[in-house]
Amino acid sequence: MKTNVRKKKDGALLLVAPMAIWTILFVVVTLGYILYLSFTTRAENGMGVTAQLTLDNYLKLLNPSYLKVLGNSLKLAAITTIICLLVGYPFGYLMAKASPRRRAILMLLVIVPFWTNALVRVYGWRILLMGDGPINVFLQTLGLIDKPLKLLNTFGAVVLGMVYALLPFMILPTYSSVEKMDWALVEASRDMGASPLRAFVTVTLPLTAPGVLAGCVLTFVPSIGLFFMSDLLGGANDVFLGNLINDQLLKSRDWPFAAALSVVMMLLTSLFLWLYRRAGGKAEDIAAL
Amino acid sequence: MKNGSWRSRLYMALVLLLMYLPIVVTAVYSFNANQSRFTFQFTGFSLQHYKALFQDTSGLLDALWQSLQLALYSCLISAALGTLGAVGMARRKFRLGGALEGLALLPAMTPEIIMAMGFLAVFTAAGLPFGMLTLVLAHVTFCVPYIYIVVKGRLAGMDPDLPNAARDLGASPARAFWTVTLPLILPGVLSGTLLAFAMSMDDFVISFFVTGPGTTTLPVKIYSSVRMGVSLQVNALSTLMLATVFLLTAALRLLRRRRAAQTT
Amino acid sequence: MLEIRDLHKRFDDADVLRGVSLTIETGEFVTLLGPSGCGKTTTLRIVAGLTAPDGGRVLLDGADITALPPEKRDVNTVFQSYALFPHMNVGRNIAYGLRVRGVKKDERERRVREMLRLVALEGFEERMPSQLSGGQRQRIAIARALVLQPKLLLLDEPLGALDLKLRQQMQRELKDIQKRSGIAFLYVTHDQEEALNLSDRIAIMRDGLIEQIGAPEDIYERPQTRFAAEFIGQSNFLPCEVVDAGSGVPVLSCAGQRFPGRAGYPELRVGDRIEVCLRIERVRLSRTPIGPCALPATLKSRHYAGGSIRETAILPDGQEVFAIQQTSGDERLEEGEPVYVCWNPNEAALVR
Repeated sequence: MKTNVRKKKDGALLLVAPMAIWTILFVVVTLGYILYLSFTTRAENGMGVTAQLTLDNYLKLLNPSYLKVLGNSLKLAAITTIICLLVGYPFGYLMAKASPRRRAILMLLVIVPFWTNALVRVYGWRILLMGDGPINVFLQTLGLIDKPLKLLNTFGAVVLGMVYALLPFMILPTYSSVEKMDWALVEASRDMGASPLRAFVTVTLPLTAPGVLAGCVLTFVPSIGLFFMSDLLGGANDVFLGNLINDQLLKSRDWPFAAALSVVMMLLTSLFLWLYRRAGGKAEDIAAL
Repeated sequence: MKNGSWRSRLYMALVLLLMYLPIVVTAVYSFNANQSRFTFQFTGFSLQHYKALFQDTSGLLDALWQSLQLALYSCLISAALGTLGAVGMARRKFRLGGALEGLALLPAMTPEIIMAMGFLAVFTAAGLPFGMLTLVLAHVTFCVPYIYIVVKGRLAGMDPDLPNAARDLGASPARAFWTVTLPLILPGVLSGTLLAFAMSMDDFVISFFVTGPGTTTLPVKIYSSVRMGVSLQVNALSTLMLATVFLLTAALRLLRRRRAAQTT
Repeated sequence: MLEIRDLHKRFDDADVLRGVSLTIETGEFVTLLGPSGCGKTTTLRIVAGLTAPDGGRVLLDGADITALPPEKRDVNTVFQSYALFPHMNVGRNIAYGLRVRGVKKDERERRVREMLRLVALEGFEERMPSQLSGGQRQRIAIARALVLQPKLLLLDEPLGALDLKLRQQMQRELKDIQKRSGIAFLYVTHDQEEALNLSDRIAIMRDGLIEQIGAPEDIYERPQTRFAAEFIGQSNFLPCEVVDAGSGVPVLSCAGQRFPGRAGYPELRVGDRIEVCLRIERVRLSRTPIGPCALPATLKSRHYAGGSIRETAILPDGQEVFAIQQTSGDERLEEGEPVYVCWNPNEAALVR
C-alpha cells in the first residue's frame, strides 16, 4: 500500500509555489521574450515588431561600428575589474588584518557609501571633475595648470566612475576570504623558509582566490551594463553596450536589435559566470553580496 | 604589508578619502549660494537649496515619497515570496528544485539593463499601464533573490529537526512555523528585507525603463535633474539622506553591540 | 501496544527498509541496534510520523496511525541533536507541548517542575539551552518529550554526542527514568554496550531488515546469524560441516576433527555448512583436551593484561583463535607450545 500522505501534507509545495509562479512569470517569460524578440523583425512603421523570424538582428551586430562598441564595453569592463582588483585586494587584505575594533569601523566606512544612491555618488564625481569644479579650481590655485583640464566627459572619467561604484564589490569578498584564511598556513610556510613575498604568492593568494574570483565577477558583470555611467561622466564617443541598448530601446525604438544586443550581453555574462564556476566558484557567493 | 605599518594605514586612508570625496563635495556644495545650473563657483554659504527642496519646487520630495512607497511594497512582497520559497525548498527536495533556484537567482546575476529591457517589452506586450504597478512587479523580481539567499543561509545553519520537534510535540505545521522556524530565521528575513529595501531605493536602470507618467522614483528624478547640469537641490537631498543612513547604521551598530554585551 | 507491520521505504535509489515488523509491549524498552545505514533511524522516524513509509503500517494500541501527521500521534521523540528550541528557555521548552494542547498556566508550571525533578534538574526553568552542558540538554530533551506522557518515547542515539564517562552515567539515569515513568522506549543506537545495558529486547537490524530480535541474553547466547554474533560481543567463527543431524545433538566436522555441536537446531541437515561461534571469553586453551570439544592447535601469543590474559592460537589449517582468560590458572602456557582449543558445546551457538 502506498502511503505518501505526509509528503503531500507537508505544504512544501504550497510554500514554494508563489516564488515559483513569480519566477516563471517574471524571469522565465521576460528572458524568454527577449530571446524571441531578438529573432523578430521591426515593424514597417517603426513601432513594435512583426513575428517574421529572422537572423538579421544578429548579422547587424557584425557591422564594424557595433563591433567597436562591443570591444569598447569589454575593454571598459576589463580595465575596471583590473583596477578594482589592484586597489580593492590590498584594502580587503589590510582590513581583514586590522584589529577587530578598527575592522568594524572600516566595514562601516566601506558599506555606508554602498547604501547611498549610486547616481548621487557618480554625480559627486561630476561636480568634482567639472571645468570649474573643485579639482580644477584647486590645481589652478596652486598654479600647476593655466587653464582647466578637461576631466569630465572622458573615457578616464567613466573608468573612474565604474571603479568607484564597484570597488566595494571587490573589497567585501576579498576581505571575507582573507578573514577566513588560516594564518597558521602562512606561518608554516614562513617557518619553512619562505620569504614574506613568497609566502604571499604561494599560500595567501591561492587561498584567497575564491574571494578574488567572486570579486572579479561582481565587478565585471555589472560593468558591462551600467549605461548611466557613460551618460553622466563620458563623452560623445564613449558608447558602450549598455548605452547602445538604451538608445535602441528608447531612441531608435529598434526592439529586435536591442534584444539581440541583450542576448549577446547575456551570453557574455554567462560565459564569464561559467568560467567562474569552472574555476570552482559558487553561484551563491556572488548572489550573497 | 605589515599590520599597522604607517604605509598600509596611509593606503587605506587614501582609498577611503577617494570613496568619500564625492560624497563630501556633494554635501559641501549643497550649501552653495550659487544658483546657476551650469557653473560651480562656490559663492557663499546658504540654506536656500534646502528651503527650495522642502517647498519641493523640483519635485524631488515627491519622487522620494514615491521611491519609499515602492521600496516598501517591493521589500514586503519579495520578503514573503523569498522567505516562503526558501522554507519550502528546505523542507523537501524537489525534482526541479535546483532549476527553480537557479532561475529565481538569475535576476541578481543578469546585467540590469537586460532585465530592464525584458520588463519593458513584456509589460508593453501584456498591455500593463506603466507606473507603480509595473515598478513593483519589476522590483520584487530583482529583490527576491537577495531575500532567498539570506534566508536559505539562515535555514542551512538551523537544525532541521527543530520544526520536526515542534510537530512531534503536537504543533500543527503552521504553529511549528510561527513558533519555531520563523523566530529562528527572523534575523535573516529582516536583514534580507532591509537589503531589498535598499536595492529598491537605489535602483535606477530598471526603474528608468518601467516607470510611467505620473510616477517618478528618486533615482530617475535625480538622473533627469543632473544629466545636463547641476541641481543643488539634489545635493541638499543627498546630504540629508546620507546623514540619515549614517545615523541609522551607527545606531544599529550601537544597539547590536549593547545587546551583545548584555547576553555575554 | 505498538505494532509495526512490514515497513518498506525507498530513498532515491536505495531500499532503506525492506519489510520491518516489530511489536513493543507497554513499559518495554526495545532497542534497534545496527550499523549506520541499516534503516534504524528511518524506522524510528516512520513511527514518529516524520517520514512516510512506501508500504506497511504502524499501529498504536490497535489503531492505524500510518497516515497521521506527527502532531496527532501519541508518541514523542528525543532527537539525536536534542532539537531544543534555542530561542526558548528550559521551562518554555518543556512546556511547549503542554502549551500547544492548551494546558492552563499553573498546571503547566507544576508539570514542568515535576519533570525537572524527574531528570534531576530542579530550578533550571530560566536557563537557555546554550547555557547547558551536553548531558543537561539531553535530560531536558527527555523531559520535554515525557511531560506529554506519551504511550511511547522514541530516542534516536540520544547518547551519541556525549563523552564516554557521561554516556555511562546517562545510561543508568535513562534506565532509571524509564522504569519510574513506566513508558515504553524505542531506542536507536549503534553501540552494543548501550543496547545490552538498557534493553528489555534488542532488534538487530541489517540492510533494512531485522536480523534477530530477543532479550539481550538471547541475542548474546543464541545469535542466529554471523552478523548478529559479530555485532554483539567478540567471537571466533569456525566453519564446519554437519556430518550427523539425527539425534538432537548434531555432529560437526572441522579440519578433520569431529565434535558435537549445541543441541536445539532441529533444522540442521547433513551436509549443511555452518559456523560455530566461539565467544572469546568462553574459549579455553589448555595442554590437555577438556570435554568433547577440543581442537589441537599451537599457541601463537600470550599477553598478560592485568585482570585478564589474551591468547592467540593457530589451528592446523591456519585459522587464528582468540581467547581471553580471567585468571592465569594453574597452567602457564608458553608461546609455540602445542595446545587444545576447548569449549563447552552448549555455549557455542551455530550460525549461518
